[in-house]
Amino acid sequence: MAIENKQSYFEQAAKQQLDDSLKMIDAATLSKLNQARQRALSYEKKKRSFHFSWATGLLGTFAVAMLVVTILPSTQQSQPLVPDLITEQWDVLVVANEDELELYNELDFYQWLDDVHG
Amino acid sequence: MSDTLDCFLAENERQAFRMAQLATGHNDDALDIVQDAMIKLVQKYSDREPLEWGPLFHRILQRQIIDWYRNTSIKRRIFSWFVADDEESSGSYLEALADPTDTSPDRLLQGDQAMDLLQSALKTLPLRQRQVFLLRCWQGLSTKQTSEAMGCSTGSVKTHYHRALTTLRSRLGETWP
Repeated sequence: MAIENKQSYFEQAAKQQLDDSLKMIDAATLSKLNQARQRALSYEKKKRSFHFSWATGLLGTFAVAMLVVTILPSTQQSQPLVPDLITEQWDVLVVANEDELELYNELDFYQWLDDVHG
Repeated sequence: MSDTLDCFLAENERQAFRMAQLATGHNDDALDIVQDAMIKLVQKYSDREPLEWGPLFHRILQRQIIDWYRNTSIKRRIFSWFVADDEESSGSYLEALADPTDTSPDRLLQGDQAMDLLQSALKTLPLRQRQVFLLRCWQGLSTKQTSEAMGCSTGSVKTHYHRALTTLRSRLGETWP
């Protein structure tokens, strides 16, 4: 027990001396240590920016892929709209012109006339 | 995360520097070791939980110190013709390596004598014993944590710590500090 206490006291004294020695580190060395720390931390920033560029690249690729997937079917759907639009315009033209309307109403008569005298 | 990491490194950089300085005996080498350890922690483990950083940082730092010793011992082997062959072939050169730093009385009179005495006594310890002593006694790591940081068994840690304590107490004397 006495030996353990003596060892413990010795260890504590040594620890205290070593702790105190930290206060004796000169300013120039502390400055160099600070520079070393900042240099080490700059690797963290490089690592993060590398990860960020990877993430941005992946996100960009994903966004482009989603855009293609979303727009392509809607483009395919929009193709039949053009004839529909033309048909509607044609109907409007027919309804708007009275002569053309009469012609269409008597279309059966003209077909019969064509069959008989044609 | 970056701020937390900054705080962690700021809290540990002085102790890390002191440990590296005690191991190498050179400020510049110690600074290089600490910087490399910080960079490796940031590059490899910054995504881990902050609680894991302490043991990981100690492990990296100890590896850096051991690497420094290996490189230094290789340089010594190459450039010094007087290294004995039996030391080279024994395989325990690293274990037994002690720092031959100046411990003259003139040097000891400068600054805090108790710390200088401790520092001088620490420098005479073999590298492994010194590392174990600093991790266990100063950093407060458990035997298991120390063994993980050092990459050796818990039994080896206990042996190194016991030998370090015995040597330090015998060198510093009963009246220290």
